[in-house]
Amino acid sequence: MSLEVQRCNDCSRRWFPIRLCCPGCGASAFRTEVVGRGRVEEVTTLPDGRVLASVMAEGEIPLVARLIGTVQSGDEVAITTDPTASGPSAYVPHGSLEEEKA
Amino acid sequence: MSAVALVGAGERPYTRHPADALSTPQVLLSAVRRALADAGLRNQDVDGLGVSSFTLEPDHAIDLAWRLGLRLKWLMQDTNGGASAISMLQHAVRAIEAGDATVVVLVAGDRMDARAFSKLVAQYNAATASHLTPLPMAGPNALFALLTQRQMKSWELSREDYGQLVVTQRAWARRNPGAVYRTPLTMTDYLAAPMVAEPLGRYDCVPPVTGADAVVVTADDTGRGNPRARIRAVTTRYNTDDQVGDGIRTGLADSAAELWHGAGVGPSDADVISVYDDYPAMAISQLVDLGIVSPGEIRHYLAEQVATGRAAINTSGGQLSAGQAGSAGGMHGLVEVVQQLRRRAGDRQVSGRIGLVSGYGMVLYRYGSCANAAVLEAAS
Repeated sequence: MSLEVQRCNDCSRRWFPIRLCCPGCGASAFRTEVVGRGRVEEVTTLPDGRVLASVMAEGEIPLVARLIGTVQSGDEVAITTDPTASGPSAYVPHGSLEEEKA
Repeated sequence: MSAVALVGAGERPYTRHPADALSTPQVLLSAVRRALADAGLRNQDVDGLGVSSFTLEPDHAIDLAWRLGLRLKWLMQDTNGGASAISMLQHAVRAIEAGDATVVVLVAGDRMDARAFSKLVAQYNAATASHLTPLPMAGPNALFALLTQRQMKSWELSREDYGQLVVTQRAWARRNPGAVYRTPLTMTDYLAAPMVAEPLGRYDCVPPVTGADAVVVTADDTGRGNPRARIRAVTTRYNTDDQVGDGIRTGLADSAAELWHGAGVGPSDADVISVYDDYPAMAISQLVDLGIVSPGEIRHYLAEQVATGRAAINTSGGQLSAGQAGSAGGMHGLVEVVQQLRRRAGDRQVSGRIGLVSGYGMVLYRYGSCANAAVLEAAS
């Protein structure tokens, strides 16, 4: 499952997590797009073996992800919202609009 | 320069293991009483109250005012965590200048046991609950590990550089009976500590504690004749980059020129400094953003100025050694600088006239979004 992000209808910039207004231009009308891949930047391993990372999606959207499979800094990987996906990939919990409204 | 001063300060001693009966209102009360006693004032003198606490719910500022028996003309609650102290101070200065209040108490703190801490970090905001907690991620250590890696690369820093700050703060803590961690710490201990999230080891991460801090703010004229810390300037910034920057640059970079211009002094005039140290990387970012040191000079500065004690930075031991009492994180550094300027810092007293305090906090998705600072001046 691919990650859905916002694209501003006015200035075309993309955002995640979702915003109410576009920080770039102030408009509040967005469409939803999916992002497929991202470049892994910094990587950190936790004591239980989980690997968390900064991932830059399509050169524009910085994400916080858990890496699945053998992935190194600098790699291009698939971004998934499925925590059980096979590697190499970067898991980004999608959450829901309702949760963020809550 | 304002005509407002800090005339008293107090800290409810921090503890890692609060008694079952100790509640958040009680730790806040303890800090309020200590700050008022320090100022030589009584409850009846207070007509303004500002409160910041993560664990006061279901109560709010008005409930605390009621339970303290305060009759007020001015009341606020601030939700900005490590930036709440200076945020409230900014409001209090204006309230006193405008005549809305004459004696304001600002208090921040929490009963922050393991359960309260886990609950706080899992539901810190909607974005955290939706996009970080399910990773799973429990608390901000991993985010600041990633940020520290960016800083190490950008500014060519090593773990030993961060260790200089951490080990020196522990040495200051040894002179602060209120610090939770006071046992000696060497660079070898620092480097050998268990990894929490590469490159952060145990001593790079603030220990959550229970406690509270408070200050008393009045017109400068009211405090005349008593030791006090005059407020020369306060600046704040919120959400300066929409969480799409590197996080190494804080909102202080945007406000530093305004801060120093307002204060009428410069970074080299600061005699005693508290920077918000949730992680050593953030303390260093704030020193850079405030103009205390340039990125290319950090290593030399840490070794020659900080480690030698020539630069008086986080003289309480900072949160890294004294502990992070929830929302009191920012107030802790303010209390320390106020007491240094009022010559009430005991065994760790330093000389000097100008104090600098910064606050930082509220991780929205990748790093903190609030940053502020105050320049204070000793007067008596």
